[in-house]
Amino acid sequence: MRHDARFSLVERRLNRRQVLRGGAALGLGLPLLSGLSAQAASSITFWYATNAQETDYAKAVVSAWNKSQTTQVKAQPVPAGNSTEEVVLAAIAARTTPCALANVAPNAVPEYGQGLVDLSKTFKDADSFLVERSGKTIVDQYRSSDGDLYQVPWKTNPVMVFFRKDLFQKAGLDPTKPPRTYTQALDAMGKLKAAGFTPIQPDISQNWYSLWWTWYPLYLAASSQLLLDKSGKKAIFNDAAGQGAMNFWREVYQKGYAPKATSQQDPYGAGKVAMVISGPWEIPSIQQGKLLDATDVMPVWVPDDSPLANNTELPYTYADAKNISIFTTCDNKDDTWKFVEYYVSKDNDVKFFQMTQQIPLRQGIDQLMPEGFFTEYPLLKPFAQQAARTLDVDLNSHSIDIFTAIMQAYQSAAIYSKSTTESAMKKAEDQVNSLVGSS
Amino acid sequence: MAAEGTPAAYEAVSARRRRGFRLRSLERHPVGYLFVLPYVVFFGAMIAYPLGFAVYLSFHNWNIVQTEKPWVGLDNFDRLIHDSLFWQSLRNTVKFIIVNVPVTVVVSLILAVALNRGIKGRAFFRTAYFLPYVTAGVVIALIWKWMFSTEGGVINNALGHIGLGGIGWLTDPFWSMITIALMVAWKQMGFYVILYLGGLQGIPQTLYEAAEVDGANAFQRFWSITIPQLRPITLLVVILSTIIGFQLFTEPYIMTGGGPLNSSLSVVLYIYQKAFQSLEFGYAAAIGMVLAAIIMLTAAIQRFVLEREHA
Repeated sequence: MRHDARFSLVERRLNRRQVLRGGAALGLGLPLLSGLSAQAASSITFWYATNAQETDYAKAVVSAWNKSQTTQVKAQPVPAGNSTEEVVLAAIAARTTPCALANVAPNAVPEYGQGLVDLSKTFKDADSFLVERSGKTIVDQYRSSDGDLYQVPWKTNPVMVFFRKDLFQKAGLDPTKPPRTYTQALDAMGKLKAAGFTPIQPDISQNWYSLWWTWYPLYLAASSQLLLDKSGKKAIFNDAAGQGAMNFWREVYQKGYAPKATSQQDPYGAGKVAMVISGPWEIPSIQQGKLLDATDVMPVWVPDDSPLANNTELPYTYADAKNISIFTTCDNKDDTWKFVEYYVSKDNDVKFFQMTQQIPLRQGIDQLMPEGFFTEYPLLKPFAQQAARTLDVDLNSHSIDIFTAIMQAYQSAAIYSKSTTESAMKKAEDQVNSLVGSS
Repeated sequence: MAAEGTPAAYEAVSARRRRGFRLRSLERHPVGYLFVLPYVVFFGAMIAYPLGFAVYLSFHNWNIVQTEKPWVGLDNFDRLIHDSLFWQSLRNTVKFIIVNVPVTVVVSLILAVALNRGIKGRAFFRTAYFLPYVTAGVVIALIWKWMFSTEGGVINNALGHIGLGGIGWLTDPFWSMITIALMVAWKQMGFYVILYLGGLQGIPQTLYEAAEVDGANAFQRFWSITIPQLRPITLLVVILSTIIGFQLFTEPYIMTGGGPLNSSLSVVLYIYQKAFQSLEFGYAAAIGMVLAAIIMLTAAIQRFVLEREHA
C-alpha cells in the first residue's frame, strides 16, 4: 500500500538513533540558546503598573533615558495576572523577574524575600539619597526587619474623606467646618440621613484590603502606630484606638448611616452619597460625575479625646504607597539603580505628579509643583499636604493574614453586629499573635 | 549468576525479553512514539507531576519563594482538623450542593422533557440553554454579580416593582451561598439537559403506548415510565453535579470573595487563599488532599447506590 510505503520511508528516515540524536541536540541546544539570549541581554528590564497614566509616564521617562544612556531600558507593563503580587511571586519562583518593578506593595516585600536586592548594602548612596528625597520618617517606615531598605519609597495615595459641600449645606451643616471627631462625624451623618441623603457607603466586601478605606485609616489617626509592636512579634491594635475605630463603624451601621449593600457604580462619583473615604484616585470619578465644584476634602476623623480633636494638625492616615524594588536576578544592578534614581529624580517626580495625579513621596512636593497646578487640581493640594503624615503597613510576611483576621472582626462586629467589638477584636488579636509569634 | 531452571534465572530471562521487546518496538515504531509523546509530556507535566508534587507538599511547608521545603510530617493535617475556617468552608460547600444538586436535577429534567417534545423553536431553546455552559465562568459570574447588586441590580429593581426589593443576595450571610448555588445551577443546566435528552430518546416508545392503552394520563406516564427509565441518567447528573459542586471556586471568588462573614467561602476558595494569599502551599496541599478524599468517598458511595439500583 502506498500509505505503508510512505510510513516505512518515514520510519527509515527517523530511526531510533536519529530520534535520540535529535532529542540530545534539543536538550543541549535549548539551554545553550537561552544562555546566549541571557548574555545578549545587557539592557535593563523594567515593569510598571498597567494604568494608562502610569504607562504614559513610564514611556516618557524610559524614552528620555534611552536617548541619553548607553544601557537601554526595556520597559513593559506588569504581565497580566490577578494581581502584581501574584505575577511577581510566580516570576520569582521561575527566576524571570525584571531588573526593577515600579508597583511594589510594601506589605509584599517580606513575601518577595530573597528575591529582592538589599539596596542599603548594595548601593553606597541608597540610604542617603532616599532620606534626602523622602525624609527619614517616611524612609524608616519601609525598612525591613534587618534595618535595610529593599524598596524605594516612591508614591503615595493618602486616604482622606471627600465630602459634598452642597449636601452638607442642605442638611444644615457648615461645609467650611467639616466634622473632626467621631461624635461630630456621627452627628453630621445623622443630619445628612434626616435630610434624605445617604451619608456614606463603604465597600462591605470581605476583601482584606477593604479595611484600608474603613477601619484602618481611623485606627492610624487615633493611634499613630501600626498593627504590630516594634519587634513585629506582638499585635497592638486591640487597644482603645482600635476598639474606638471599630465602635465608630459599628455605630454607623447600627444607625443605618451606611447601607449594607453593594452598588454597581462608585456611589460617590455617581452622586449617591455625601461622603467617601478614598484616595486621589477618586478624583477622575468625581470629575466624571461633574461633582468637582461641589466636593471638598477633610482629614479622617479622630476620637473625641484625641489631642488632635481641637486643632488643625493633620492626623496620620493610611499611605497606600507603591514602591520600586530591584530583583536579585538582574545582571546589571548598578545601572538599574542609576535608572531608579533617575526615575524618582526631582524633575521626574514633578512630571509624575502632573501626569498621574498621584503623589510622589518627596519632601515638600506641594512647593515644587509649577504655579497653577493646584488651581487646575484644587482637590490634590490637601492630599499633597497629607503625604507627609502617612503610615503604611507592617512589613510582615503575614500582612495579608493579619488584615484578613481584622476584616473578620470588622465584618462580625461593625457591619453585621454578630459579636461585640471586644470579643471580635480579641479573637483577631489572638489570631494575629499566633501568626506573628511564629514568624 | 542464577542457575538455569531456577525461578531467578527464569525472571532474568523474562526481564531480558521484556527489555528486548521494548527496544525492538522502539526501533520498529519510532514515529508512533513521537506521536504519543505530546500527550505523555502533557500528562506528565500537567497531571502526574502536579499531583505528585501536591502529595509531597502536603507533608512539607513551602512559601513558593524560598527553596527550602521543611518536612512537617502530619502537622498540616493536624492543623486542618482544628481549623474552624476549613470546617466552615466544608459546611458552606455542602450547603451549596444541597441547594444546587436538587435544583439542577429537577429543572434540567423538566427542561429536557419540554425540549424533547415537538415545540416551536426547539433548536433555539436547546442552544440557548447550552450557551451559558460554554461561556467563560468569570464572565458569567461578573454579569450575575452586577445583576444581584443590592442597589441598581436588575433583580432587585424588578422585585422592587412588587415590593420585594432590597434583598442582599450577595451581602446577606443567609442568601449568599444560596444565590451562588442557584446561579451555578443555571450555568450548568445546559449540559445536564443534553444528558437527559439523550436518556429520553432512549426510552422505548412502546412503553408509553402500552401505558396509554392501559388508561394512564400524562402525569402517570411521566411518573411511572420517564422517571424510572431515566434513573441512570439522574444518578449520573447527581454524581457529576456533586463532584463539580465540591470544586466550587470561580463564582464565590468573583462574586463575594467568600463573604459576608465567610458564608460563601468554599473549600477550593479557601485552598486558593491559603496558597496564593497566605503563601502556605503545604497547608493548602493538605486541604486539597482531604478534599480529594472526600470527593472520592462521595463518588464511591454514589457509585455503590448506582450499581445497587441496577442489580
